[in-house]
Amino acid sequence: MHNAEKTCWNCPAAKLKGNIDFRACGQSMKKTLDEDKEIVIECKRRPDLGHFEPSITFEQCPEWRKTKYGYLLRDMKVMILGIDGYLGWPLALKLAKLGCKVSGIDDYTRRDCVMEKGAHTIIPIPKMTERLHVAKEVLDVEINFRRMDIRDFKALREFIEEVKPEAIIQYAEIPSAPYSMVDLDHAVEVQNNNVLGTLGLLWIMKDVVPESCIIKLGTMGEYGAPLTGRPLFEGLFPSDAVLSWDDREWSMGGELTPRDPVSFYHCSKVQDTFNVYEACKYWWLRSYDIMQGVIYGVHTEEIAQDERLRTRFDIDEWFGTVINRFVSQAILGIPLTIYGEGEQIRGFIALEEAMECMVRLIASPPEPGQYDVVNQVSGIYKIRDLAETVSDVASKEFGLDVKIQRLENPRVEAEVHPLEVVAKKLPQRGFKPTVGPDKEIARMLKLLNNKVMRKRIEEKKYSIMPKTTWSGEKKDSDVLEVYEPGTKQKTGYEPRFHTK
Amino acid sequence: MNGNKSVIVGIDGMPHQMVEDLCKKNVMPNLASLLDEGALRVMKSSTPAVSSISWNSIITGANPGEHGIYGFSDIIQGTYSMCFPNSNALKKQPYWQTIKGTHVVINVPATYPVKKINGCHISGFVSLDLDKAVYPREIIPKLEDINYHIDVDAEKGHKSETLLLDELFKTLKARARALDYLWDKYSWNTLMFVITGSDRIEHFLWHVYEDEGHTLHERFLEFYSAIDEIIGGINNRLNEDDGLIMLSDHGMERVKYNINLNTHLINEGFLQLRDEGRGYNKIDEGTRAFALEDGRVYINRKGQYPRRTVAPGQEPELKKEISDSFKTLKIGGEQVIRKAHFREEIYHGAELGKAPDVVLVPNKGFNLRGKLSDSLHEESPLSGMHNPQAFLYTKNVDDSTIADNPTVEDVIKLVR
Repeated sequence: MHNAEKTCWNCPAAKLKGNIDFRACGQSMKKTLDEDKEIVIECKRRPDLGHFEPSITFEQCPEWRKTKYGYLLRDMKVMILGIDGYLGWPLALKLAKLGCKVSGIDDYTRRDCVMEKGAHTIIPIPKMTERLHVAKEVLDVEINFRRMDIRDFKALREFIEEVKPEAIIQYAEIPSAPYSMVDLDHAVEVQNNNVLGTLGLLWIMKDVVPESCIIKLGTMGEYGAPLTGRPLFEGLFPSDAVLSWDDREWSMGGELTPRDPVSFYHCSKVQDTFNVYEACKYWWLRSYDIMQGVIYGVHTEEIAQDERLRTRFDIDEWFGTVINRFVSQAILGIPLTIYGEGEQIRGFIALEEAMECMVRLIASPPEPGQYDVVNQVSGIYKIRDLAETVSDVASKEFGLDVKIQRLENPRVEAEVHPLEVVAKKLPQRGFKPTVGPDKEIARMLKLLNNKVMRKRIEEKKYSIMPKTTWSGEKKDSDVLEVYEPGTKQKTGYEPRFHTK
Repeated sequence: MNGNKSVIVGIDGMPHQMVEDLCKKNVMPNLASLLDEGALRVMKSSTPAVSSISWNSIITGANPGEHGIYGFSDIIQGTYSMCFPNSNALKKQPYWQTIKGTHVVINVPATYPVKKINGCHISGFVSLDLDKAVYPREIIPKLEDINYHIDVDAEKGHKSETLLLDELFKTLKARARALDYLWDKYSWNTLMFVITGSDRIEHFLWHVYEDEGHTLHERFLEFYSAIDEIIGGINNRLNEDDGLIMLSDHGMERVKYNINLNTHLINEGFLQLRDEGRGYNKIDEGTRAFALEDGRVYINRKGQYPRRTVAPGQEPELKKEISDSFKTLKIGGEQVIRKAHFREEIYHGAELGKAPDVVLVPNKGFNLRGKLSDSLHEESPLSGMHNPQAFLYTKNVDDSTIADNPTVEDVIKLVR
């Protein structure tokens, strides 16, 4: 088990009580966490242990039980902010099935934003009240839900005080680069919701649940795609990284790596990174910043149990992620749209894999004060190669006739660049990619390639093509080229990926 | 006691020799005049000489084998994690739970969390939450008003000697105010009041005490004069027939070196560590023994610890092997260990099974530590370390039942 040797030091049930200096028979209430002195804790779950040092391992502690994702705190209280979303809902069901006490908030921002843009989720999803009812009926799980804007800090504080969550998943952000580039109002709303929501949450955690871990969704897009090919480490430079200049050298180990966001949405994620990083430093909070790759897919074990448990599936230019969009285009016979050269390389992860990663991280909290970062990707691919993969699966397994089109790029981004990604921390926590694009694309096509779903895609097909440009102009992108899959030579850079 | 009021004044860590010295130098004139009215004895502390063991023996009259407290730290059953036993782990009741009457108890170490009492109880070091350190809780606002602190912040002692002294005086003053308040508030039969700043000042500044030319020497002595004023005040308020007991829980002496016992156990092949794990979780398969603070050596027994090694039949021979090994340990030509006790030689009672298997008593100046360290001996950041030479003073108390060389376990006979 990857987390067997983690100890109370990592456990959210451990309440820090201060330091004792046995050399001087002295006690200090100052929570310095000075490891040279004895750090004294109480266990909120095992008060009979009195005061003790935080060194009982998860393997030794009866409160941590074995699951296939590692040791997991018995009845762990996990709060998901943004529980109604594409990720929030499947994660809630997975955790609840694992025995966690799941709570969550949502104010349906995602539903509203998609509706505002005239789009809809291709996979119909019921209202939250029905979702909760079906979860109980089908999976026999209870989820404690409150309708709430994350920025309603009074209400959020009250809910956190009531639940006392042992892990908090921060999904309550508006996850769209194009949406943040629509106009002034949209850019402000994205940054306001994302940055201030997370900032408020940090202050509340400091006051109410400082031992809880915040697992906050960031994005690989925070790093950008450096043209030098510099590797994208997991948020912080490794201990052997060195800056060399003017015949001198400095160790970079442990410093934040450069960020180069590619939209105002990505800027909001970068600001979050700094806010979370500082909160860990000032208040001994602990966090995982999840630099998630581009997400895709429709499947987890839990949402597959009943059609009413499915998660949303967006294909519009603002909220549809690239593989999800390609699959919908393949079903309708619209040439798959790649932007510019299509040589952009990105990290990707299937929904099912992302959910597994989240559980593994929840099971493995960082130490107090630790700001940790994981690159949550299971593979890195070129956009044009993924278009080929979707075409291949769609034609060979589903008999669909697929073409690919290159559009004038509405974004300001490098279209041809190297990319080298380091993603070792999740494999260290036992994660092995088992899905991959081929398998999940086939699942998506199987679910969506039918009359009902095709009709729903057809109704919103106009929303797929990009009209939001980074220049601020509102215009359709010109088609540069349409071509048959399998007709292009491999060009450009090869993705480089380190998992060991 | 004679049926009148009884007061027990504790001065944590004050050695018998220091009582005589400071009385002779007129630093503590009230105490000096009391010596003429009562009896002063050397009292043997607990083994090891640690406040949590010693005070619990004083208030219960029990041996550690009976009351179950063997130090500030212990190991949680089935793990290698250290816990810090508190009053919930105490297996014998303190006198204020067994003797009829109203009792006021102020700042007795290792009595946290407090329990319901006929009277009032403010526990001493280690007390991490004031609301669990005070009974009844109604007096907490008054304590906060007088700026009462359980202890000085030990952190400050490491930062600055003068800052520590300032804090010690402030804490003592507030404690004296609490004494005045509670003395009058309750119509009590016994009152126990412990000063713990004495132990802190001696740990940090023993070198200042020994060096009469030190710039802080006079200030050091002033602290004991301040204690003496409190003693004088108490004595003035006692009626002629009221009993007075004054005592310490252990003595103090100059540290030469900190000795990391586990390093010796590693060097001699008793202890093996692995890279993983925090603290004692580094203990690996193949380990036969490991040590905690203050000279306590434990056998890594099958059935008791996770990566246990030693089967029951092997224990007697192993204990002898450990004892012999430590008896040969020398630093700078000096023998470190004066005596190695097997647990059954010094402890008795229902809690004997939790006792350390071998208890090492050091020669003068060797401070026995349980740290996992690469170096066998280190300079100590503190200048004072405990020794067993505590003191006991009695006035108007029937002390006919105790020997001339009492131990901490005898004190209860005076209270009864």
